[in-house]
Amino acid sequence: MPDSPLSRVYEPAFHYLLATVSLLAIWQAVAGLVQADYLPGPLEVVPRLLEVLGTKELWLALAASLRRLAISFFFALAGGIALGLAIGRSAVVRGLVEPLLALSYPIPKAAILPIVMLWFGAGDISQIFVIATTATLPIIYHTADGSRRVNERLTWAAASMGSSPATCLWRIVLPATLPEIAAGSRTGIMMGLIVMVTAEMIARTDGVGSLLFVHFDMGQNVDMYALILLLGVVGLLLDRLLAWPSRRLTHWAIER
Amino acid sequence: MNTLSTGNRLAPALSLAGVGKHFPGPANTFVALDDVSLDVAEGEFVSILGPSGCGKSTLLYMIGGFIPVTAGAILAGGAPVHGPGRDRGVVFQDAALFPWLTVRANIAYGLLEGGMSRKEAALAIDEMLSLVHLDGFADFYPGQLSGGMRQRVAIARTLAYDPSILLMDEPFGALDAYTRSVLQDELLRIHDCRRKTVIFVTHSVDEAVYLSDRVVVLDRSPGRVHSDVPIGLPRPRNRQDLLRDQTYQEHVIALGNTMMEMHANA
Repeated sequence: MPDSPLSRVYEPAFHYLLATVSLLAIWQAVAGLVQADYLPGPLEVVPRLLEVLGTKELWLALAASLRRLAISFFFALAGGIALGLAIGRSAVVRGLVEPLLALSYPIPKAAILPIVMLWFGAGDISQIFVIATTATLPIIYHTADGSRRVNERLTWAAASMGSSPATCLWRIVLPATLPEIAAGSRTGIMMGLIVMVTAEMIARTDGVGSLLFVHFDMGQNVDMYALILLLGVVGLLLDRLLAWPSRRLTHWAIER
Repeated sequence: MNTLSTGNRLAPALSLAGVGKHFPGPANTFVALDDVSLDVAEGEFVSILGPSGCGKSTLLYMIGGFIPVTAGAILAGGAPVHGPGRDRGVVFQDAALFPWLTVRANIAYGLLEGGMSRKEAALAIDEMLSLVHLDGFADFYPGQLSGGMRQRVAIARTLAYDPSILLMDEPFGALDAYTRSVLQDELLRIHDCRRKTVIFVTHSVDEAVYLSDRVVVLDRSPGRVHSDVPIGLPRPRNRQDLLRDQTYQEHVIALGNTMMEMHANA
């Protein structure tokens, strides 16, 4: 029954599990061969992670990180959609802003954190600034590209039914661009998560990145590995979390 | 201007005077349409027939107000056209339904934009759905419908808010032969009971003769009015009777020859 509803649910889950178990097995094998305290195996790391999950320290760090990421992502999304639509729908804005974007895209945002910290201090504002600018770029690009390619007959149809240009933007262009916005958001939040850890490592105020460096300073290698594993899981969950509203908002694009 | 002062005759529903579309290029100006003049009476069904590239869709988009004219003027209901308006409803070849909205919400769009209450709109939508024989499909999304059904929704969406002029851009061009003739018959039926002024762009001779009171043939490079043929077949029309009708056959043959000549000269 290659296409039964049951196998459609279980097959991906099975592949997921297979990949995870294989990866852990390879890791354990390499760790067993190397026999060094800088490379503990999963048999050491996974139990440690479960142990760490029972500490208040970890949950405080995780809460600080997720709060930071959520605020950053909110600004990244709001700003990214607004700027992306402006670029996609206005040739003037596109001409003005696109060169700046192309210039700023390849710059690692963590590299400008020290400068930003000179402006805003080492606290939340600097870190949120850096995370948000990182996460917003793919959202801007996807939104701009998507909104530019909206079938012009859709806006013509709306205009002929009496919609003003502003209404067309809000009720036609924005929903038509949702699939691209969703794609940009999922890339953006991952890039945000990556730069968040780096920013926290540099700023050393709080959060998972900061805690990671505390363990590094204290030579607690197993804890470092446990936190890295945790970050992977957090990333996975965040992606799933975003996939859910995206699918609800863009199901019409998939069914076509 | 003579169109507005023709004494006791009614002012035309749509009037094109010397309409042109020129695209200035680096070397020379490309003339897509040149000096198109045309008066369409209220309730008249006029087809614009021509080979591909003759600018017939461009002409329709200019009447719709989606693209500007570069020469001449268009008057709809006596008022100059400067942009899209609710007096001129459009149906595009690709239906151009809003894919994120259900059939119901698509039809509701124009009604709500016109200030109708949701309650009134709901009644009007049900009426439109039965007019185009899509009762029971109100909650489907366009992506779940066949091409023919989508085109029915597009027609319903446009008729719903009652524009006085209907602009149709090869609406059945992408459909299979059977669906096409079914929708042609439905359009005839709707035209018989609603008497809209219709501008219907097509490259099919049979379709133009079958549906229209008048067929305007456009030539290409540049797009100009080649001929303006009154069809003069009575309504309501019936496909079986018409196919045996001599006037119908003569129009199809004559217009077919005209089209062949234009293709040969291209």
